Amino acid sequence: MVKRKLLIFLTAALLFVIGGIFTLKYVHNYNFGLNALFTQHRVQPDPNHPRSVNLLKGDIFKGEILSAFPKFNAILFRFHTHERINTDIIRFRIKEEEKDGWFYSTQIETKMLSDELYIVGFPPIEDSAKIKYQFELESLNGTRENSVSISYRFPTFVARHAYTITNIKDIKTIRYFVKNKLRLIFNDPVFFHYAFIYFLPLFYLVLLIFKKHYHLPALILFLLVIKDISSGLVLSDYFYVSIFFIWLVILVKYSLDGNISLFFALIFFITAVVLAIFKQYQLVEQTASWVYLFLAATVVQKIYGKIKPQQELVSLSKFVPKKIIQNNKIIDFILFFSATVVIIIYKVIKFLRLNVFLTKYVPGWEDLYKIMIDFIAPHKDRPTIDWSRYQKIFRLILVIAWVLLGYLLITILGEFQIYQRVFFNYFPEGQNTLFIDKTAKYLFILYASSALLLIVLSKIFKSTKKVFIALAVAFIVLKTGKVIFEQTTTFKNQVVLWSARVNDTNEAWVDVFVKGQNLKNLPFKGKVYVDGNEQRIIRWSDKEVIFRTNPLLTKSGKVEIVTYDGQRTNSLGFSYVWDH
Amino acid sequence: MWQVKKVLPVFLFATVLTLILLPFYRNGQIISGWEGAYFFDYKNLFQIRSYSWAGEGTGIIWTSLNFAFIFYLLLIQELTHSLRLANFVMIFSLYFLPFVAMYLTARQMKLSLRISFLIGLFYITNPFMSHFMKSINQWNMLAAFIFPAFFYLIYKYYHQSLKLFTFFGIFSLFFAFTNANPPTMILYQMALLFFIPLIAIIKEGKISIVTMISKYIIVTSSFVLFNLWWILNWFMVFSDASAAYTVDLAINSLKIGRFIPMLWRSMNLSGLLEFPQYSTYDYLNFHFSYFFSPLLLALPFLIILVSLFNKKLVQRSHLFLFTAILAVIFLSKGINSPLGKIYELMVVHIPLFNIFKSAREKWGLFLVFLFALYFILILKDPISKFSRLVIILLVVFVGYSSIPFVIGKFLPDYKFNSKVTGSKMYLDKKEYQDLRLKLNTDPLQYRVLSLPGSLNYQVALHIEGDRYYTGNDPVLNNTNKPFLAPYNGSFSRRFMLLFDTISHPDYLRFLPIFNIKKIVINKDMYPWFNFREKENIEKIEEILDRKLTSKKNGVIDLYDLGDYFLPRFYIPTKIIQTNLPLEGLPQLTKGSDYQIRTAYLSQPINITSDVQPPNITFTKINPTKYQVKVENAKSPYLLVFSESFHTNWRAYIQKPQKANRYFSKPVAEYFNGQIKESEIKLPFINSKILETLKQTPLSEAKHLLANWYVNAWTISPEDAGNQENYEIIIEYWPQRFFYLSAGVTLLTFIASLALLIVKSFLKW
Repeated sequence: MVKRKLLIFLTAALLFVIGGIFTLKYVHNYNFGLNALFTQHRVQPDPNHPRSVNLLKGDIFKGEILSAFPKFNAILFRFHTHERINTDIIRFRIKEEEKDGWFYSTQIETKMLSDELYIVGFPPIEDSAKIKYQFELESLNGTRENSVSISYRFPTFVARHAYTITNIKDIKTIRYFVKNKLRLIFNDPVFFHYAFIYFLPLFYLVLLIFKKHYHLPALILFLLVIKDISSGLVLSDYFYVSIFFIWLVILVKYSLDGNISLFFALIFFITAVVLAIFKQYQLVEQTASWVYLFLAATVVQKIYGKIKPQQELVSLSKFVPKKIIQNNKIIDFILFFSATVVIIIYKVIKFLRLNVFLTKYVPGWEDLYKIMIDFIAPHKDRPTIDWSRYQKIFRLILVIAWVLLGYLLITILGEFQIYQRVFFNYFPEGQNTLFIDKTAKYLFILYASSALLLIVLSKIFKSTKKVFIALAVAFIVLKTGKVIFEQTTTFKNQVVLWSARVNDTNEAWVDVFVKGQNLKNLPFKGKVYVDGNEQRIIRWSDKEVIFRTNPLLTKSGKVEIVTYDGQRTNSLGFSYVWDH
Repeated sequence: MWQVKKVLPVFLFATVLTLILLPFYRNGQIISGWEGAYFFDYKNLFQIRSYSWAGEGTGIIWTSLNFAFIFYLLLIQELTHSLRLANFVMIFSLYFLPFVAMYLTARQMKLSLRISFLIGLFYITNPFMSHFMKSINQWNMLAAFIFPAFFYLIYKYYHQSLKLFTFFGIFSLFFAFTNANPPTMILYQMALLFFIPLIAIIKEGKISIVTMISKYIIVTSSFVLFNLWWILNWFMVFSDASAAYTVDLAINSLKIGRFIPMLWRSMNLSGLLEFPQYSTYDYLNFHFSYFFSPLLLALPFLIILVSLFNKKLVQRSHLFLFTAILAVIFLSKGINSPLGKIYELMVVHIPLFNIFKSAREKWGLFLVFLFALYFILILKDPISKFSRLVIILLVVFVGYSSIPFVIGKFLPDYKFNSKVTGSKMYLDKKEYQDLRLKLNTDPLQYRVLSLPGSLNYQVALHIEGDRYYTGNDPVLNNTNKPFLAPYNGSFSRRFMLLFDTISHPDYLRFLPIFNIKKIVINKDMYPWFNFREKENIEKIEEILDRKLTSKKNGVIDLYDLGDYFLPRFYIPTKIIQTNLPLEGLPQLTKGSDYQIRTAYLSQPINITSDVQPPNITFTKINPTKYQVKVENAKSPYLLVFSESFHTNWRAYIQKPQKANRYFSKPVAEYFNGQIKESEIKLPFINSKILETLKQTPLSEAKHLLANWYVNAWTISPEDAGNQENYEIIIEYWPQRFFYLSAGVTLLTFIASLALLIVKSFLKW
């Protein structure tokens, strides 16, 4: 017993450590360090340069930061390197507002930069809270082909305030840091999502310790899977692995039969088929992933069962309510299910008096029904459906309506994320700003007006169940949202070039990387032109084309691409300086 | 009578296959195209590729193009004098052999005739296989035959070690060419690792490690010994081959193939269908994109899934096989979610795994075989209620997926774009045949320049209307002359200069160093991937007509370079040291002091080209060996051999007593007889094959890269022992490994057959 408790404690500790490490890693990566307080800043895009601020020789990018915390010690900048290695030097200077001399100055070598945030540190300013600072970034040698830009992608720059062991002197400072750090972490909406995933195994361990029965752990797990499928978002592999092992533990702890995993796999498989018919491929794939993982669990348990046979297992018929499945016979279940569907269709036809219409145009359809139902289920096995119980049916409809409403709301949320992703996929930077500007603002108006509509309709149709009104409104929101998206994103199928980068300008034959969008994943079927001269293509994908220069063919000029179906991109300036 | 009944399903399949293939051969057409079926003159293929190494002599081995399967097709061609019949037999075999192997495997595992027939049909007609097979790439497609055939042989002779060794070895020898594709080759070896324990479980009900290891050693040693003739050479090129399969290349290829829902498509065997769905691409894509298709395509996996509910069908063998199925599904989805990172890590960290850059194709093929095997296991037991359901569902599935075959659209035309409909129907026009005859009967050694310069190795040749044959150039690939096109050249480089400078006034001066004698213009060629040169065909004709003589025959123009031809071996009268790249050739050839016999070197050498060069006579003994007779060599000279540079080419200067053996009457003389070319025909195996074994070649320091891509040797009188007249053997030395290892293969073949005969006599 002591051994078992120790084992549980150690496991819990291990899971806590794992969850903690992953969470801290997340905080470290996305909260600019574990020991830092920060403020994120946005720069309003210049209409003439919507993507980034170019820094050519003599150009100065000026900014202000009202420091929110003490110990201001660095600014992180988001540069854009134009997908090339630049050799320009940027001078960084910072000073307190309205003071004459610069507090600190340093030079940044642009060859060190990438499109991720780059940290520029300076001596910590202990009492920086509530003081405004001004900074400058000045290009010393930037040219059109050899310079970086300041990206508009949020956050354009971040003010970082570092708390180290050496500069924390009293408990008050610690309290201040912890309070603010937690506030910053909790302000990150994705944090809880990931933290939940990282601590999921630990949560389950606790659940499994205290729950004597398998229903709740299994139900929660099942709901998590459903949530994953309906979200339409590919979660981290950590989630898949966690659920897989949690399910294995549930199987072992409650001595569940391997067929239960198999049953889940079957349910998801059938769901995937239905989704595939409706071409919901993202959902199909996520459902298939769960088919795969539950099958893997089945195999593990069945192999384990062969090696170490267990006597008393909770069978599928015990696990799943008997009304749904009887005698653990899946074929009978399938036949029973099919028969039910056929009978319901028949009854609905009769109820709606469509039988008169059908008999007129499809004579003998009732005979066909009888043959079919006899084939699927002999009379004794045939399900009986009590149609007098309208009450129950209505309740069932209500439940379905609520489920449907939940599904619609999740779908609306999912669609919103999908729309946002379109911007992230299409534009190289500034996606959030563009998304809000082009689409999201209309969507927000739609959501707000829908909420209003819901209230108004509820007042008008007082006798109608609110869930049905909400369903109708949700449906309208979903469909209108799609229309808005389509209308505001006409660009998404356009072919466009973002940048052209030469990897080495001293050579005659160099590979030029041209980045763009919708160039079609059909290698070598399109053409690349520089000033009207076709170039030799080395590699071709939807987002990037690589061509190789040739002194006989290549000159400075405009790069443009014609895709295999004749769509022509915008043109980009390209300078080819090799001269033999 | 029962014997007839046994072969009836096979006969039925063969008959139906013949009937559905015959319409493709209407109007003199044959089935050809894409990457594999463009060889149809097997006599020519056998003659030019009967050596282990590629004609370019650049470190590429014809892994196994000198294979017995080709010999079998050659035999049909020779007996019937019909290229079309040989082509028919080849295409027929591609479909027939996998079916038969799967059928026999099912029969061997005690399934009834009908069910075995059904399993065979499932194996051939499922959406993965029908897409896989439409590439008609013989050395890739027959992998579909190898899996069931290997399994069948191991299963059948599991308890008869000598027979297992002999028959497995002979079989793998006969179909050695199916190892031409490195990932498939590795996949076979991985399959063996899986087959042996599975068969052990099925046959013995348990896993006996000792027995399994012994069986594995038998099978592997049989494979190695019977195939040593190519394996040894393969190891020679291993570093080159693995350099071509970089991790970056693999990851990039996998990323290109990343799409949703790949896991789902692996499960329902539709991984090779176009995605996003492109139902108008070809008939197969159309057929499998009905709204109800997902339902029918899900049936095979559903059967397997549901079978696991049945306790009788959850034996060790089933679990072992199902685990393999799950593993292979995981692999065939490549780097797609879930846990796609694992595949990426495998590519990066497991040696050789990066060759699996086409995950869905390679693993998918193995998966189909595992599915078929699983159905055999399910249906192996006496017919039950469940097995009836399985049979019904399989019949429904096969019925649906075999429709493209039944209606003769299993090798469909496909819509490349609004202008080009690609087809596998190839019409071998009279002018094509004339051209091939002309080139194949010409005894001289030279290259052909192919125009217009297609940018893709698959060309489009006009058939009728908007229909085009699409695939490797069937006209020039069936000649015995190497040809230059934008998509080929030497191992390491392409010669775009030949296509970029056609309008240059000195264009013909650029050609001699490439050993080009003929230029072929095929006017049927369509620029579906565009042409390299900017000139259209009429313009090219206009340019060439001004300077060269030609024979124009319908859609084919054949130009002869005349005085601009530089033979395969020459001694330059002018040596230019330059650091310019090949593209700088126009600068080097301009001016009135141009000489055709020029060599371009990137390094200085101590040879003056103003003295009278020696006379030479050269002959090609085989693609890996040449002999050059040198006369009147009084001072150092540079011998240029216009074959792609490779350090494995060696020059052996012969002692006086060994000279003068191979030269017949010259077939051509160049430069007033200063260079002569003679023809020699030696049997494939002759007493001289290892004559250089104990000889010392010229030092590596004397072996130079000339003309940006070819071999050259600086030879001084001291190198030749101060002789003035002597002979040099130029040899691609790894060919020796082929001779030695082929000997081991032959010995193994004879010894194992002899042992088998003796053993059966003793028993008898």
